[in-house]
Amino acid sequence: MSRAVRKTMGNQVRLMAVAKQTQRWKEYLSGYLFITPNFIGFLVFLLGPIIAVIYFSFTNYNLSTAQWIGPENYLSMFRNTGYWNSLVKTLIFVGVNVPLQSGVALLVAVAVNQKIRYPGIFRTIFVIPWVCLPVSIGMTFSWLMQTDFGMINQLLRSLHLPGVPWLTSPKLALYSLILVNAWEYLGFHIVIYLAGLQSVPTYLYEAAMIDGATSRVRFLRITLPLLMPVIFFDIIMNTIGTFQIFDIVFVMTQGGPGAATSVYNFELYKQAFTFFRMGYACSMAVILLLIIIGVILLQFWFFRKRGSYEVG
Amino acid sequence: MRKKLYVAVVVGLFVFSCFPATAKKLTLRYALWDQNQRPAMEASIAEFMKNNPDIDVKVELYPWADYWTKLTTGLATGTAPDVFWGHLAWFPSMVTRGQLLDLQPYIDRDKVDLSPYYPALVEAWKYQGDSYGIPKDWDTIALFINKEMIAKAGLVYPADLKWNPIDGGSFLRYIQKLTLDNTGRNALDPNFDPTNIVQYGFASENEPQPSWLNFVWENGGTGIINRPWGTKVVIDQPQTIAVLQFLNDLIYKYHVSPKPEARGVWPGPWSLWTGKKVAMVTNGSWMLPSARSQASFPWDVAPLPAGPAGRISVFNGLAHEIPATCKHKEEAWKLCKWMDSPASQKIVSEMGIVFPAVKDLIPTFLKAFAGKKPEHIRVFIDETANTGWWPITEKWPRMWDVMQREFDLLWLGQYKTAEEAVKKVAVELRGIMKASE
Amino acid sequence: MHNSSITAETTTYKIKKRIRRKTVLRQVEIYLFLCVISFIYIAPFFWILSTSFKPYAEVMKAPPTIIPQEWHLENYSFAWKAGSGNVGLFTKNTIIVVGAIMIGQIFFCSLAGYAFARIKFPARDFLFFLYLATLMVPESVTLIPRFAIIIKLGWIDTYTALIVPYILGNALGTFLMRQFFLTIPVEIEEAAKIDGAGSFRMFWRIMLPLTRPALASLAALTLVFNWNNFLWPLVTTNTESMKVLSVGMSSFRLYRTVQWHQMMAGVVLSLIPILIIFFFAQKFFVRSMTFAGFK
Repeated sequence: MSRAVRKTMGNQVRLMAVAKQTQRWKEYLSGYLFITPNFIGFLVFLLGPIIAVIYFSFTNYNLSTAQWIGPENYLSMFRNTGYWNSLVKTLIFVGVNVPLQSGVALLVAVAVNQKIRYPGIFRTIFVIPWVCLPVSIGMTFSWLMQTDFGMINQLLRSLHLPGVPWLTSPKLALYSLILVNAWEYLGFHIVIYLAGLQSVPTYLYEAAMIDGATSRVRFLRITLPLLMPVIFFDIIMNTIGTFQIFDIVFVMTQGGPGAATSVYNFELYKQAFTFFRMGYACSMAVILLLIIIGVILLQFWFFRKRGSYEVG
Repeated sequence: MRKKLYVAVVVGLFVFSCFPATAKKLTLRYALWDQNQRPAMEASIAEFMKNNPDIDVKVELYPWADYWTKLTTGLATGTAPDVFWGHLAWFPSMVTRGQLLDLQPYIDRDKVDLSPYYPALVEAWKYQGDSYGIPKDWDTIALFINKEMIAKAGLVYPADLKWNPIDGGSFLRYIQKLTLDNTGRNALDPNFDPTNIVQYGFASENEPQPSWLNFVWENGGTGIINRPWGTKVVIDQPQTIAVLQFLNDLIYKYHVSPKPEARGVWPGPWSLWTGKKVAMVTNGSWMLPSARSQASFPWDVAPLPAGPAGRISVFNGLAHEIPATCKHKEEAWKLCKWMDSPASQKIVSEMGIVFPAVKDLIPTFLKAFAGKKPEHIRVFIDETANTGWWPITEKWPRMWDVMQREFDLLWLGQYKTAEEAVKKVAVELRGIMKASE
Repeated sequence: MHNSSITAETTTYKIKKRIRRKTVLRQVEIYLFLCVISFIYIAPFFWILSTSFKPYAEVMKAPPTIIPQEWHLENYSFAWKAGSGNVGLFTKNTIIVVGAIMIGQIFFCSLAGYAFARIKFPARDFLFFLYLATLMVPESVTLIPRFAIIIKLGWIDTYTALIVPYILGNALGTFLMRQFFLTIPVEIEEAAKIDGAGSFRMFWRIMLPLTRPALASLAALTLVFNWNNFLWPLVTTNTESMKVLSVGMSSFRLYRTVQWHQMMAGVVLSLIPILIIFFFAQKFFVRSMTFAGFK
């Protein structure tokens, strides 16, 4: 090859390299441009606030000034019985609600999954509360659970049973709220389990039936293990969601009677917006974050062995 | 090309939503909490806007349970309404934090005459000698009674009931006759069945202003703190404990009062009265419009039952206030001055909803009321002969939170004795008083 | 030989009969179980409907009447109108806010999701990991700083405060869209690139239309979440004219002029819009739930 030809070829290669380089830069640019609006929002409304909350928890922030006061907020928080009460109430709420909801949802999903007629209708009925306003559902149940005229107590009295002080008994109120919450979101979990159940191959059941396995055995040995990843996922979602309970507490009991239903988020809201102790509320927020991370890690550890089963 | 289009659309959406419709007029925000008074306020505001065509007033209503949360946030963040209703219980905490605009300079400059107003009210709205609000109205507490139930029980109008914490007095006997079980027996009957009550004589409530604070004074108690702006907590006086015990006994010992409802919903004892489940309930004159629209039976008002120390009612007056961070102080002052002026109060009085703070307008109010229920409207006016002030302390919000919580439990029967509850509350209140914040 | 086969047949027949009986019994059990639970789900709605038409005196009657003796439609106009219940205004606000969020979110989340899935740029995976990490952070943790930002920007009581944080800072939507984009075969993109498509056109004309099922599910999820959102609007709106349905209903229950029957009428009105949407778009809702599940 002549030097001239080699030079042209070299130039061509270089041009192509430059073109490719420009092309790559253009791609980078478009990548950044595409994510920019979303990313700015992410920084401003998600990542930034997480960092800000941690910072403010060490100050006496009240929206205008923020003086560093070190661990004062945390100390006064841990000394405050109201704080521990809200933590305990929330833990009880999560501890009862998650197994109750996930457990019942699983049973109902299994029932609906049997070859019954009109599974769609049942599923629709159960899902309806999930799309309804939690505030409206709270008001509905405030009325249903009203001690004297609520439907539930009227029903009980017509059966010659005593009326129950659902929302006015400090011992019962929290559990009444748990029931309302379970009622509201059950459908969501039922749908998730239904989808999971449908991915279990039916030939496994048939084989088991031929071997004479009872339905309980089939459930425990086939359904449950295969559904583990779904159950795992559902329980995590349920836990994170339940920790955030606020709407029905606000609407139905305002934390009462006494402090019986003063859950974590409600206490946080009260400290921040009724008493204006923003720094204190931020420290509550930080602890909540740590708790959630801890709970998730715990659940990962608990489920680590149950992983997923391969279906041959 | 499309990229530009999408950018334009997005930017347009932002611009559209960021800026409210720009008007040439200045807009003032006015806040209140009582639905019942809204028509009257709006009538007065309409008159103001007629005389001030360059100012537009937007009325915002936050219900009572939300009002103070919203306002506190607004005042701390500079987003409070320009003119808002103030209540003496929350006045101290706001004024001591410098959140309210001092109206004294404006009053002096415009030579506003404060003599038409009740002097006690004018004084109450002062802090360190300066006025922060001009009195708008006043209210007292009385008994709302169901005339039908009283007639059926063979009783007469309760013009002068007396009570005492030891045996309840004529007051207790009166309400016992009004409490009926499902067989028609009243609470004085030995065969009365307390598990099947269909009608209660009275509704005892955990609300200081319409309910227990009145009784505390009538029993010779001082109240919650020793005096307006005082720092001594006196809620655990034996007289006060006796009152709370008596009100509790009405529910659990004498069975003449229903158990309270959950705090989440408003309908409480008042709802039971309008729903014909309770014969009598104590409440303030501000509930008169509600009574008119909701009570479907013959009703009236009667004086509070008198205690060992006489008949005393909580006296409260509202005033319009302006936040210190208001961006339109002059215009807000114009509105504020108007709303509390005798001329405006005349408009409001003619609608007969609340008692005007201007002394001479009482006859106007009564005239507007002539022919309207209740027959004994004068009761509210007579109550002003002997009144006590709402506790005035800047620690009120936190104190009320504690009292509400613990006394709710007391009313729900979760304490064996009122003494336990009061002692517990007293300890917490003293802690709040001592705290610097 | 002959005998054993007959016995075999009868045994199989007997087994089959037993299985069928068990199945029928089982079916009855299941139906009963489901019907009881369905009753628990339907009864409340019937009761609030019943209450909403009654006059107040009838509401407080014991024993209660299931079918109202008097029908008072004015409870509904009371709840809907301005000056009393104002549910009409709240519904309008909610439709505006949720509509804007749905459009914005679909656009911005799919834009970013596509970039994270298919466009190579430095630090892409690290940035995406940041998104993932924040997915488990509850709303209440970041509430106060977000509130402070809204105050500083002067966005209190505006639609902006209700809309912007949900269309621009949405990690879940971005995540879902990215996952979905990853499932689209690379060949389609390569073919388009050969035809000379630039990044945006590739996205707009080719990739986005392919994600219609995912978009529909995302839209359904967004709709439900934002329609029912309570804490954020509670904290950022003060004036009645800006209240969305959730916040409006919560203050509606506190008005001194409102009583149970009017309240229940308000509750019914607040539920009608979403129920209508739900009935028409059921499958999208259901799909969105499982879609969110099997991320």
